[in-house]
Amino acid sequence: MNKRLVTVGLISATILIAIGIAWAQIGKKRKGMVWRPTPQQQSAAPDDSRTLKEKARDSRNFAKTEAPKDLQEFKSLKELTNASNLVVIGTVKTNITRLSHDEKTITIDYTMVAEKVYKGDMTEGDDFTVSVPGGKVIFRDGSAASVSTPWFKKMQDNKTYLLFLKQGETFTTIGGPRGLFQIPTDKSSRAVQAHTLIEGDPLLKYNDIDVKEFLRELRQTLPKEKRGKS
Amino acid sequence: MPGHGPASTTDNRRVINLRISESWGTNTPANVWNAVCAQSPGTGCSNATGPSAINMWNSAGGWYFFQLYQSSDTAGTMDIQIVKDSTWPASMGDACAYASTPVEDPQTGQGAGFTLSTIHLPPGSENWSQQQLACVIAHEMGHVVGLYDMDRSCAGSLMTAPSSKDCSTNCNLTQVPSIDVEAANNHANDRTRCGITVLPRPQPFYGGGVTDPYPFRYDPICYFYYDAVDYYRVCACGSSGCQCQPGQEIGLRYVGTVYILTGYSCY
Repeated sequence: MNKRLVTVGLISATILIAIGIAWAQIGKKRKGMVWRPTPQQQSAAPDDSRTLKEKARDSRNFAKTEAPKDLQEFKSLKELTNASNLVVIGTVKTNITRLSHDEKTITIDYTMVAEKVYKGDMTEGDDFTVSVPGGKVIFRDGSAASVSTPWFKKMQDNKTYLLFLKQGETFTTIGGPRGLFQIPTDKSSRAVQAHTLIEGDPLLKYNDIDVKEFLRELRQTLPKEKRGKS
Repeated sequence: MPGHGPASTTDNRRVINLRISESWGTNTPANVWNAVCAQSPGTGCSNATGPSAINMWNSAGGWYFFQLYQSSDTAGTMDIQIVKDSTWPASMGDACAYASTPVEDPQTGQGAGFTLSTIHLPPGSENWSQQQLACVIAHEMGHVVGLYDMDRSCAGSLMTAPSSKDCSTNCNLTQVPSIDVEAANNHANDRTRCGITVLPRPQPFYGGGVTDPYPFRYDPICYFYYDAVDYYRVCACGSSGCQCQPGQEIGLRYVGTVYILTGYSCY
């Protein structure tokens, strides 16, 4: 009798766990927020050779939306790690927008402090600068230009992120928003947030994943000597 | 800010009506009243002495003519109300005041559904000096007409963040500097730029898009699409030095994004 009860109990528990896992998977899918261009953005005039400063001077307040283009695609943390010069958890200290040298685009330059270095030549506590596309500048004649990149969820001051970076004049994230994840730092949430808002991006699977599970998978992507505990 | 026609037949400045709300009590404290309107036209104002926020702006020139207008009709004729906010939100931290203004989508011009701006002052502000109140209210009026907070390292603006956190003494200006008047004039005829005024924190956006059918519980077989409106604060001086030099652009500080639901598809 007792044996039968135990068996029924085990079967019930297995079914409940399976339902729970299935529900969690559905939940992951439904929480994703993605961007797609509005009809206005789709029908926008093609870019011309004028600089943003010239366009702002003509229209007083020039605004354009940049589409995600020529971005490298990744399916997993392993692919991201392999393509990066630097894999680091960092906290944003401040940011400022900057017009590019050719005055045709704008970036937001974030000053960050390294909290944990997983790959690359950097020491914890170092400051570094990461540039992401988009931003707004005001010119001295009072005109303004803004470049919107709504498919790239931006970083905010005082928040902490895992970044997959490549070195250039400044660091940039690989694959645009794909190389950026927000890491929870307080007890109110343990969920990681992917910063890609590109529809159908495989990396959206990491949205809302538990941070412990996420960092465990990250460590698995590193050479054995770098895997230590965080 | 559209205002209410010219100030007079010989003065083309746009009239902006301010009102001191009942939140200050049946009789508004004299220092508060005078800090709003002393030396400006109107009953109880023209004979009052000392600095006032209205006189600071009016005497500096510019496109606006501010006046006290104590009407109970707040729908249409009133532009700015000044309240003592007894429910001072904890999220305001050590801010001395803040302004809530109608926020517009910079692309569509659709707004939040209200036109009245409110200048919020914290409990206890009735004990500040007339000069301090006038300066703080004038700063918030700057936000209402489209000005940004300026970085602390750029002095010489009414909109420069104060160096002290003592709200009873940290605002010393008695005149609106010409740099602020010039900036307000730049905004005056450009509603899209007024609409993206950055206050101490991003304001919620209520216009445009479609209503989220499941705000708290997303259906598993629906996809939700969003557009984004970014918010920036003026940060004229960065780590590499002051960028507000002639001929150079002014860098801004990104503060956040409001995501607007533009559509969804369920299957």
